[in-house]
Amino acid sequence: MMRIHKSAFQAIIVSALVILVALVMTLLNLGMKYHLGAQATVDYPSLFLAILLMVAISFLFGWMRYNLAGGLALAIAVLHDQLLSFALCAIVSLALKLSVYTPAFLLAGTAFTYCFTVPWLRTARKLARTNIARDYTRQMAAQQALTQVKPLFLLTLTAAVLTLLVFLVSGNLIMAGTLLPLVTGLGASVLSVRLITPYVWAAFTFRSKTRR
Amino acid sequence: MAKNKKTGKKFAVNRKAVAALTLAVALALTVIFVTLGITGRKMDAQGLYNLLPWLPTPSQTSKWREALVPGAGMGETLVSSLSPAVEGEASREDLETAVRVLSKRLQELGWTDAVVEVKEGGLRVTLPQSADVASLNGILSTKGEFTFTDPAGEAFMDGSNVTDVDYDYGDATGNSIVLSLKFDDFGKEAFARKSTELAGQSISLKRDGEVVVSPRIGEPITQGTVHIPMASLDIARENMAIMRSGTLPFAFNLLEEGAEGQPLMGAGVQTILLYAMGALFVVIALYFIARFRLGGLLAAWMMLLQTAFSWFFAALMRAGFTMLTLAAIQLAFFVTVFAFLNLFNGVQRDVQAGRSVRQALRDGYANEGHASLDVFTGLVLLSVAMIILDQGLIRLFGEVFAISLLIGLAITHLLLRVLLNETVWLFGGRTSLYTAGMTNKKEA
Repeated sequence: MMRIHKSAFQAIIVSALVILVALVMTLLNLGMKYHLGAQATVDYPSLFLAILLMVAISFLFGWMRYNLAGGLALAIAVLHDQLLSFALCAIVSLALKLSVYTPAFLLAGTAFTYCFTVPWLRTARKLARTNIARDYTRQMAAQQALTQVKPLFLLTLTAAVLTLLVFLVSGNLIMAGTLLPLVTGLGASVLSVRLITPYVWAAFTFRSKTRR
Repeated sequence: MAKNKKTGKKFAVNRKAVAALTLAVALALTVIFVTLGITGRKMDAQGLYNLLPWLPTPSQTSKWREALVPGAGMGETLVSSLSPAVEGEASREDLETAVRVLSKRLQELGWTDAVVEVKEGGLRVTLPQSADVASLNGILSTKGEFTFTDPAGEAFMDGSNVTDVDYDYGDATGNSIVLSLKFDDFGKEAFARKSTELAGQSISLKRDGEVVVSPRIGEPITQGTVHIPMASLDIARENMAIMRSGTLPFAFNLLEEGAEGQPLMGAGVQTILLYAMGALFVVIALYFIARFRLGGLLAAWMMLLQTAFSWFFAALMRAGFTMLTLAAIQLAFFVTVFAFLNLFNGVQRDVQAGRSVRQALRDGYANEGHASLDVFTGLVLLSVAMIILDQGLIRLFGEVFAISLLIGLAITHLLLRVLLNETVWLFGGRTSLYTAGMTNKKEA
């Protein structure tokens, strides 16, 4: 049976609610506000197709490089981060207007997802493989991996925040709005790697563990 | 120990000398490359061929802005005002439609950083300083209503029946340019009927009532696609952009042409941003040097090289100095910083656990190195998907990002590895040289 950790479940609910709120706002023409004439150039079908393609590529890459659970975890992390980042953009755009670069920068947020998720995924996989104790569960491996990669995670997060700060301090509100998808992408990827992806990965592999 | 084939005598290779030479050559090449990036170089005595500088610096006299043309967001702008050519006031709805059409028109022409907005009952268009405003204003003020007419001037279909338009070379010589149109069902049928009727005569393509071209119909065209010869590449490109962006609700009159304005992202944004990026580089480099010492110094060197190479390729690709290019290069730089942090953290942990530097490096590349290899590979695959899928800004971003990532990948997994090994040969494997918090006493 697939069981997801309580905190991961709560985080998924919060993300889903944010996405729902953004969807309602957009349908009521309150969300996704663009600066000047930028909206005219945004091709939403193309953007959604690109997100789906990225999820599919991430799944295949994770599956071939690691295993099925790894592929699913990476794909879910990318999907979650892209949708949450998109939703946050829709909401925050009421204050900071989006730019023509929004679709490209939304997709670029996958750089944060990969930098945070891949080191954890490798560590968790290694721990699960090398620890042969019967009572050592995938959940334990996921949590232990989170602790092990925490110093790297914090350093990488600092580097990401500094990189975004460089832009934010240099320009005006148009610059801030242009950068918004990258900021929301960073936030979404931090949430997913700390609270969602590890437990989703553990839940996916839980079944094969009990079968074995 | 190597063996001389002729004499059979063994001779010793001075590994330290080889390491010193390798490092010196790499350093000299880096200095030359970065200096050329800042100064550029005249390639012949007459100054006909110039290697433009490609590394952005705050200097206003540097010619790097010719290699990386700043967009309207990052550089000085030219502002034009357009008023609707209608009697009375145009409705807000129509003006917003016009904003959408003109934004698309500008993007189709490659001006991704330009901005169109409603202002005082008309439109304000902000273009980068490098734009040919006179020519662009003509394209922006035209209504863009296309019709296909017979020799009597009777219209039998219009631009709304065109579903796809592109331009291409008509033959291998590259002298003939054609506008390729694809029609919807109505257009396909109407064009087939008229081209059958008018075989041997001509059909005119008109824009706002003016004839663009009147090609002679040789034989009936029934496939729903037509290739119309154009006088020049510019005319073909202009008509493609206007046709793709759709028709304006009305034509516009030019009120003010190309008044100078501030960059859209704020006055002085270019200089502040370049200083801020420089400061970020220094902070990260100092962190690496303080924490990983000699290894950190090499990491800082490699980061400089990655920056120089990324801007070099961005200039070659004519990506311009826009937020898109900046974000792609800075994100790839961030991924490289992540890769270095990951690698050096692993090496430091192993060294502190008592392993030799050489062994720790080998293990670092085998374990932590693979994580960064996965990140680079995965992101390059995603960038390639962006390039294949999109024709617009996503593609532009994907191209610069993919190139910068590949540079980061090569630098992290080839160059840094080689140079780290040579450094260990030259300066020895004392752990205190490669990690902070390890004194010689502790090591002993």
